[in-house]
Amino acid sequence: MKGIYKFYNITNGTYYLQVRHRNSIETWSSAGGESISTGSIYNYDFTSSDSQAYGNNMVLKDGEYCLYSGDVNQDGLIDITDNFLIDNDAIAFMTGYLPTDVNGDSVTDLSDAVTADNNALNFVGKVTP
Amino acid sequence: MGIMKTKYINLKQCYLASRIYAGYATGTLNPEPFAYYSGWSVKWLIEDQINGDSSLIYNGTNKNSPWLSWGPYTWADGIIPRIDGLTWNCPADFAADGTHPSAAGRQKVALRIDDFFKRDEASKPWYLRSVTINVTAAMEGFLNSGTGELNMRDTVRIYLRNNASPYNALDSSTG
Repeated sequence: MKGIYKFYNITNGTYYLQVRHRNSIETWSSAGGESISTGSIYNYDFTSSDSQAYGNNMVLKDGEYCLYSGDVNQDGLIDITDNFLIDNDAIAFMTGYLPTDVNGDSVTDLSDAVTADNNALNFVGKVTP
Repeated sequence: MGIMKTKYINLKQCYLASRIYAGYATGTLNPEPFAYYSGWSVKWLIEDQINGDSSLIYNGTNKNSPWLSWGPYTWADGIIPRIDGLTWNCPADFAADGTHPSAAGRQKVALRIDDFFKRDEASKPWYLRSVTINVTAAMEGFLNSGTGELNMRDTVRIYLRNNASPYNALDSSTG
């Protein structure tokens, strides 16, 4: 996923990029931050290496480093509380744009729970400075 | 607007601002309520464009006007504070004619114009010196092993945070 992000309220300096997505673990850019000057254009690719994330907090899937999925309640930890939410929506056959739709197919079902379960078992949580 | 578009062929946007308070005016140069009602003139002009007035076309092949929008609204009822606290005091904010602003009055107007252009979504891109970051990221769950693509596009918000504790968020952008 590629996005163009414009920032208007900063001065020259060193910054962390913090990524927030509706059901992914909050992920920060690599340690130390990025040197940024106003009036400039930068590229930042989180998929190229796990070192692009603070604490190497990404997972390799099909050759791309990815944000961990399953933090449905956005509390910075993938655990049983996220799985409860997914299970509830799956039992109710919920469809549409939902945080519990972890795989982005617009249906909340077992396949969403599998991803979250795996990450919960590995105690995946946000890693920040 | 048509004349402006003719004289300034690259004109794209026009922000309209009505008068400051004129209740202290000592002459006949549009005292109150004319100053107050100039705000309605702005409203009606913008409404005309929204409603498709043929002399206010801002896009397409027949454009003959810039795009119109409200600029900062600087009228307040004299010393009675507006909800944001703006007042107009005499003599502090006015020249001797009670109509034109003094240096302090001009400063009030200038600060509101500056603040407005810093906040308005249509003016920020040219008024402020920006930073553009092209971010590539993938979500584990969304990445489809069969296609190698993400199952859907989705909204991601990026915060720029200070690199020293407490790492305050200084700006954010959605893409």
